Amino acid sequence: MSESPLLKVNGLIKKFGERTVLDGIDLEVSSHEVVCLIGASGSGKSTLLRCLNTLEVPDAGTIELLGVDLADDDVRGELVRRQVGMVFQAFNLFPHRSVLDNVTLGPRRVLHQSKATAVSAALDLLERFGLGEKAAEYPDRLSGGQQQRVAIVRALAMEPRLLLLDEITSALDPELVGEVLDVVRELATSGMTMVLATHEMEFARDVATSVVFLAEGRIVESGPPEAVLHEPRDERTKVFLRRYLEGAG
Amino acid sequence: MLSLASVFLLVFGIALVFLLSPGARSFGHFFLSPHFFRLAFFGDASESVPPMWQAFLKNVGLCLVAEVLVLFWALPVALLRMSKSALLAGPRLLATIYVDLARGLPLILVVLAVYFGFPQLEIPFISNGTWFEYGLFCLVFCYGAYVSEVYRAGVVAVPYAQTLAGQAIGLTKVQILRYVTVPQALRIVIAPLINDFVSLQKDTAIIGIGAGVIEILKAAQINQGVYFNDTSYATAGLLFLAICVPLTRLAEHFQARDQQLRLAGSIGVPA
Repeated sequence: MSESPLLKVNGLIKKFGERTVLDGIDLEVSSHEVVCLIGASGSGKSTLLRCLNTLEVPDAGTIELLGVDLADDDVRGELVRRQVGMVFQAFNLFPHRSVLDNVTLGPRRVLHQSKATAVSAALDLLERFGLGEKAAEYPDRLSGGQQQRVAIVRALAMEPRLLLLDEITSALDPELVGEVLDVVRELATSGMTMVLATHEMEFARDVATSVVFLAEGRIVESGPPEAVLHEPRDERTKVFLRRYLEGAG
Repeated sequence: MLSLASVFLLVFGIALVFLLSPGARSFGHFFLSPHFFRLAFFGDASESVPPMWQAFLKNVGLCLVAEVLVLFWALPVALLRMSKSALLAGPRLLATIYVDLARGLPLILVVLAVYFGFPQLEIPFISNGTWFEYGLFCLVFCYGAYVSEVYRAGVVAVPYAQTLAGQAIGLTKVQILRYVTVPQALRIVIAPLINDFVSLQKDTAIIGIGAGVIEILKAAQINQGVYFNDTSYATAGLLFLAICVPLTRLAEHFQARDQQLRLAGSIGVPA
């Protein structure tokens, strides 16, 4: 671990009213790492991801991205979000724009690329993920799996240093989950740094460089996937995994 | 085939009721006479009866100008109503009272109050308005409230997730409004907006109660007074229908398109 971490979270606390959703999170993510956040619904996974993208403002603690403190007043949200891509559970594509326009909006308006540059880069990306033919379509003409892949491409088009994936397969029909996970797997292979919240334990075991188990806004256990998923030490992790395994089958 | 038969039966049945009614002949003469329709529509210079199509142009002109003004006037009202700032609490309350008043008062009462009340105030600017200015005031006053609510609903209807998605690719607040929220709100708003405009168009007839000018209602009344025939009212009805029915269809078209679009970008809707 010679290089400094891409992302460094220290003592992060986030409250919604009286409720403490994140209660002192410490987390480091280095380049090319894939960190899987697991834990029950309401354990704080999504809120953590949103904080990392400054979509939520923490109540205490620091988040450093590439050595820059995000709480610094000089750091504007838009700047952070150029470096950090995010994909949502419900895709959140822009329904009034074609697939191509969804993908090029950020590069053109935020990165100020020329239309030609943005379009050709977008078409390359869409091609890479088997969506080349869908460029002119509107989101409502696509399946859920295709929409989510477009959402991933939209995030990638900004050439982020870090990609946040928030339960991106939870809204999909089971038969469509595979195609989306394959995309993430390919990204992991190509060295993309990712933090993802997921309920897909097998997938986490396959692609994660580390797994983080959250409960009640705290990191209960973290480490390599084999360790956390197969030999959990904390009782809460055991219960969660057992319940999950029973549920899965 | 079946649908055709169903339509035919219904139309035929209704026509039959009218045709076989004891007063069919006199009803036809007094309300649907082609002769009096021609006289009403084109006017009759020898009896100094004004042509109704010309009178109708006054209504059309009034509604066109009113619609443009309403579009603008409703915007600050909607923004105020949606504002959360403590600083704007006063104006916000005012806007709320205005919307309640304007939506609660029948237009005809507003027309009477404005046309007969304003001149009595003897305030220079307010008391010597033309019929057109007073008409604009009444229509914009009443419809501004409705349209402001339409705006409000449109903005609220764009899911917050869309704003999040815009933020996530680094768009600024203004860019999100421009490229993400407002275009979608416009689509949502366009159908209800046209509906309100159809209604506004029709309500220009009410202006005739107060306005001392020969617009469609007055023209119809003059016509009726000269010939003792009510076909002029049917003529007025046809003129309104000629404008309002296509507008309504247009609204339905937009509504259908919007429905289709709104399905997109949300959870799991395969093609």
